[in-house]
Amino acid sequence: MAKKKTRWQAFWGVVLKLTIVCSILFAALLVYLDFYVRDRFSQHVWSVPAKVYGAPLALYQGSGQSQQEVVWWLQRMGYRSVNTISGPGEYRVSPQRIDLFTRAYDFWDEPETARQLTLNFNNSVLATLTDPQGRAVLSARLAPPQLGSISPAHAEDRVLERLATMPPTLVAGLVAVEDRRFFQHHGVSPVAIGRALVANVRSGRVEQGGSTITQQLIKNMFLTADQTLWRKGIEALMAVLLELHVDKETILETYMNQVFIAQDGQRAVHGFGLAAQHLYGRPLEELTIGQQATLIGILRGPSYYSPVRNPERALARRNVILDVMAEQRIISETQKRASQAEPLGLNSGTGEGPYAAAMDLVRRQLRLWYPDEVLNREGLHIHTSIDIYAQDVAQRQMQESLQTIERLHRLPANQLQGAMVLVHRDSGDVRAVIGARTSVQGGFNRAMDARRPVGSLLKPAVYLAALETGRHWLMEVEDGPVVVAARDGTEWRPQNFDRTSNGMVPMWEAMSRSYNQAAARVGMETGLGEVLRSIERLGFNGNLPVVPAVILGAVDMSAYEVAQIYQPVFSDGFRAPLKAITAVTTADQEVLNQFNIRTQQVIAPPDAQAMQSALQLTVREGTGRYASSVLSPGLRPAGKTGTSDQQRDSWFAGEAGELMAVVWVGEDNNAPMPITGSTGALRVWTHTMEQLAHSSYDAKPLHSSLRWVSWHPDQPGRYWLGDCQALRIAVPQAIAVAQAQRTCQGSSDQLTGEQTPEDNRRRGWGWLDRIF
Amino acid sequence: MARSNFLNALLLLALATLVACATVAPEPEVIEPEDPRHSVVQELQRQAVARVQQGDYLPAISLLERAAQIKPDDVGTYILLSRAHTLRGDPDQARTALQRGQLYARPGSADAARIEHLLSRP
Repeated sequence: MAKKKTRWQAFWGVVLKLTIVCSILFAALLVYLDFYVRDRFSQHVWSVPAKVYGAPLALYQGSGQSQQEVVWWLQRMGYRSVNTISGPGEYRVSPQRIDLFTRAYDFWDEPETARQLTLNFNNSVLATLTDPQGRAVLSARLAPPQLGSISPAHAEDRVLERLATMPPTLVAGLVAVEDRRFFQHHGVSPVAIGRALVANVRSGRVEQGGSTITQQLIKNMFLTADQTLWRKGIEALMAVLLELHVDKETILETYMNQVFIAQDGQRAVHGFGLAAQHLYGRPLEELTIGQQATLIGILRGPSYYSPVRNPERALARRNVILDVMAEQRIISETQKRASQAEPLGLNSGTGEGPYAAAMDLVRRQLRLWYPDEVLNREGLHIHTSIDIYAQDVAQRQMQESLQTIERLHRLPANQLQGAMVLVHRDSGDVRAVIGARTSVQGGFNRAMDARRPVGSLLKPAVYLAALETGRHWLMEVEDGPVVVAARDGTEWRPQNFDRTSNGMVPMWEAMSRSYNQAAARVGMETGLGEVLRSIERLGFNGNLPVVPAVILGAVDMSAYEVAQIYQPVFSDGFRAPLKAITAVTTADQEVLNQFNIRTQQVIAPPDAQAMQSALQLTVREGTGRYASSVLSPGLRPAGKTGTSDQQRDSWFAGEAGELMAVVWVGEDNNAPMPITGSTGALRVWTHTMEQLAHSSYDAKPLHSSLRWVSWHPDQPGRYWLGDCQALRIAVPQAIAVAQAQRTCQGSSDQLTGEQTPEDNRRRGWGWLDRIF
Repeated sequence: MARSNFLNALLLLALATLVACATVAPEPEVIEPEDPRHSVVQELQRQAVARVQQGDYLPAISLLERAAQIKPDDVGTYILLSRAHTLRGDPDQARTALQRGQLYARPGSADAARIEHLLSRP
């Protein structure tokens, strides 16, 4: 008996010791977990990649947008078409009129308030802006569209939202579905665990989880997704500890910003804020109840219930969520029925796809200023000049024009590729970058990386060097066989495209009709060194081979590089380095960097204007004639075609209205094509400019040292002093007076050929002189 | 230095006010309809001047560049832009702004003479 008692004592002694040891270990674990949870939670920094925004739609009297363009923007920005406007993000279209309620946006230069506007159109072009009282509104801007994020592959992306600004129905619905006793429990819910256990036993499989929102947050933030008892135990302990230190609202807000909702290519969409943008293209606070329910429904299985990949499943799940919301009296029965009758209403397309090439340019320019870790984590806002409407039009025209070219030249479908860079002429602001025939292709960015021989695109640089050394457009030049001996003993014998020579021709004709032999002669007489310096001065930083063939474009360049060297030509000699970024701000719109236009005069304005007049002539009567047959003369189109050897590359670089663009068309395998610059790239350029350029841009006087000389196409060589005949060119005044046989009566000397009231209006500004 | 900037800002404000006065003053010889973009540009110029007063030169320059994109032939924009660049301590861009404005000033006009005068100053 005594022996048995001793055994029991020994047994209980061991149990007691084990209990003490376990208690100490458990206490140590609790202390460690408590420290871990507090430390990690308090130091948690959201990883928010930099967001890149396009240029906002700016509306003002005279801005020139069509009604169709404004509607396109509103739809793209997630505005809702309604019968009665009641709040931001809504609009109504009627004949020659759009009523809208804009969203507020804290622009970095000047904040924009949410306000109701009426846009009146005249012949479908924006004429006036008024407020609801009928008072004129000078200008308004929509919030800028997001182009994409700067994040590493497989990175998390999110838009942080405060709980107070989230729709109450969304918050209440989420709690009702995910964790009904959230505000009662202390991190774990025995009731929920018991309910899940019963349900799982009944169904014979794991059908329900008993995890609270706090447990889910702990798992998402600190743990793995392993379904082990140990992990579940740690999760429960950490959830209880977290609730000891953090209030319910903070836990809920963190969860709603943290939870994974969708995958967008390589980007992981986290949180309800970004999910609203990703799936519906609008801010969270503007989602309908049905859309909120869809988002809540996704949480159970982001892939299984994805409204993009499995719309029917997502719709059924949404309706279940709406039932729960009505049952919990979060919404009324009427709201439930109305919401269940709604379609899913997705408005995606907010992904980077259509802007992949533009985003590539933005990334390259950004990395000159910011290290990757800053761009990937700190939620910077990158504001750019990329115009999403111009991107859309340019991409569409690229695809449609290439289809037409293939059909006209009996080429197999989808054989041709293309690239384009569209730039605001005077500022150098990049408006669109097209890197491939279709936007879905992405990948290789031909606009930046496809360096191809530019052919005759370099002739303006050659003639510019000639103009700068005293030549003028009326001078005669011989278009005949040329032989140039190179240093290595070889001979360069350029040929014209049609293998014939044209004899003595005025220099304007050699330029506008792109005669190779005349250009080679002018280039060599001017000096190869001068020509090379001219190309470099215009902004080319790459390698230029010191060989005569450079004169005819034996240089590889990308469309982006060509756009840079043409920009000063079209901007009267003022070079503005091409740029896409206008400003970088913190998420609170504090400006970190502002990228203003920096111009430098690299060509004398008279020489640049004389060159522009020759490029206008090229479009009027030379190799760019197709543009003249399509575009309004008010756009003052000007430009140059380019075709490389054996017709492997088709180019056009030109300006119209306020824009300039460079287009390349060719094949990725560098194969010869039956098309030239005139029959390929020019067509893409023309139809893009037809939709994007505005004729009301400016009225620039011809430089005082220049005069127009004009002539009739049937009487070449019989020049009139002034601009009164069908064709014209700008030459130095003394040359014009000396060579013209007759004088026009009452002609204008504007480069645009348009009269301006500006000078009259400006009369009486003598006061400025006095002040300065 | 601060006093000098303040005086410059005041001068710019006076300039902008005079721009506004000059453009709304009756001009019997003007018969062409007013360009609707003119008021927008004027407003941007006013906002830019307000920013300069606060010492915010970069946003002011940004507003003026917007004005130049909306209506590039408004010579007043380039003059204000030149002034803003000067206040910011960037004489090269101040000069370039005037050269850009010079292109839009009709030969022989008051604008042309004024810019010529400004460019001739060291």
